[in-house]
Amino acid sequence: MAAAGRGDRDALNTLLRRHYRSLHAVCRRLAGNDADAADAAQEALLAIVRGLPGFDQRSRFATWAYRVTVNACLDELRRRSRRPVPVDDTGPVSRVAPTAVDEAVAVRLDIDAALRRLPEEYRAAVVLRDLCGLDYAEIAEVLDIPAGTVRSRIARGRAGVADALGNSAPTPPRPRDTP
Amino acid sequence: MTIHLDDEHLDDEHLDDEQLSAYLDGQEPGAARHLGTCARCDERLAALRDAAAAIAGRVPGPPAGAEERAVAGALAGAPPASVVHLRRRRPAPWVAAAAAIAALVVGAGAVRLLRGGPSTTTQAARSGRASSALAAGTVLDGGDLGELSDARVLAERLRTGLAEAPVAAQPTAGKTSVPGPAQSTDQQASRASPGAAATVSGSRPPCAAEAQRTYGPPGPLVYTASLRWEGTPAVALVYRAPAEGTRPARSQVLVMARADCRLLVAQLI
Repeated sequence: MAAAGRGDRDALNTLLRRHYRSLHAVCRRLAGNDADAADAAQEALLAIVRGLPGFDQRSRFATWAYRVTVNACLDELRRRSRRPVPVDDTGPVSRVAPTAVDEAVAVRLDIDAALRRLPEEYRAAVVLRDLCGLDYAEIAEVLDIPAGTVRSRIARGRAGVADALGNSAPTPPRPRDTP
Repeated sequence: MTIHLDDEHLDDEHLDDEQLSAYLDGQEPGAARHLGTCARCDERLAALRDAAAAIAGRVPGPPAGAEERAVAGALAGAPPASVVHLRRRRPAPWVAAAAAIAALVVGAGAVRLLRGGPSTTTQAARSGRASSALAAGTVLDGGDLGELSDARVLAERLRTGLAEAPVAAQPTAGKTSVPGPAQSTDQQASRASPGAAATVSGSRPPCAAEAQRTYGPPGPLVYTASLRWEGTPAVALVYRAPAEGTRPARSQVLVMARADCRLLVAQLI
């Protein structure tokens, strides 16, 4: 880690490869498709390399890397926001008959579409919590928001996904985005 | 109505999504008193748990080669420790004065060119006597650098070549530049974006498109040369970024294998 920060290319190479898959997974969930995820992950690695000399090690490297990745990924997605999305997300999310196609593919399409319907701030919060397993304090640090806001964003994100997947009970009153 | 978790009268009320979601994360232990006695809240909790599980579920892996490209691209953008000492030294005052005079000469030449004057710059470049009068937007062909395997030697060779390359300029949409031998000024003006500049030889350098697409260099392509890097036929592409504030301009060097445009060396000089 220290050697990578000093610009040692072998150490940097090792560090990037060690974290690439987990960072790509974040981008894949945030982007919702393979092509954008690969490009966003590449942008994220570049941002990490450029930001590494300034990393003060007050937080875990992984937490800092998630922060850089989420920002790089969302920036990349915003730049592409006018491009047509590969899966129609204008209508209700429908499951493909499990007898016709691989059930895993159907679920994947569902979760991609469900996440894409969320505002990006909710999407980032639930991905960091449920995919990356960060606790509320770490997510607050990554997204630079109060812990109370993390809690409400996660709730709204999960609720949105639950509703989109169509297996939710009648929805109780929704929390507001409280700090 | 939302339950206040310290409320003892829970029968007619339900937990909201935030309470249920927080309970999933171990943040609301008091919710357990209500859950198990309320089918509606139990059902909603299950839905939220399923949503969390779906988000955490198997994520498709990256496409083949994506990791290689991402790591190589990131390393190409890294300031390598091995070349930090190769940064240009601050020029002596007389050098700065000479540069200022040269800039005036270049400016006068550019004006003459834009007014339709004789294109001495492309002729000079074609004959191998490239001068600093090359206009921004032109890519200088440095010829063959021979067999190399040392990044420091490569950097020195390229720095020498770069001394003849056009001065970096802020990319400007629609900016007119000097056309190559086989291109008109109008064609050139429509291709003024970084990395899409004309070449002195009139052809696009090998691997330039791949480098632009994969690594997104920081500025216009200004210099290209052939070489053999550790025995592999390769092309060196040099991109010059505009200076930022007081920070001196630096050049991004990408050496790529001619056969497959694989990145062999990346460094900043």
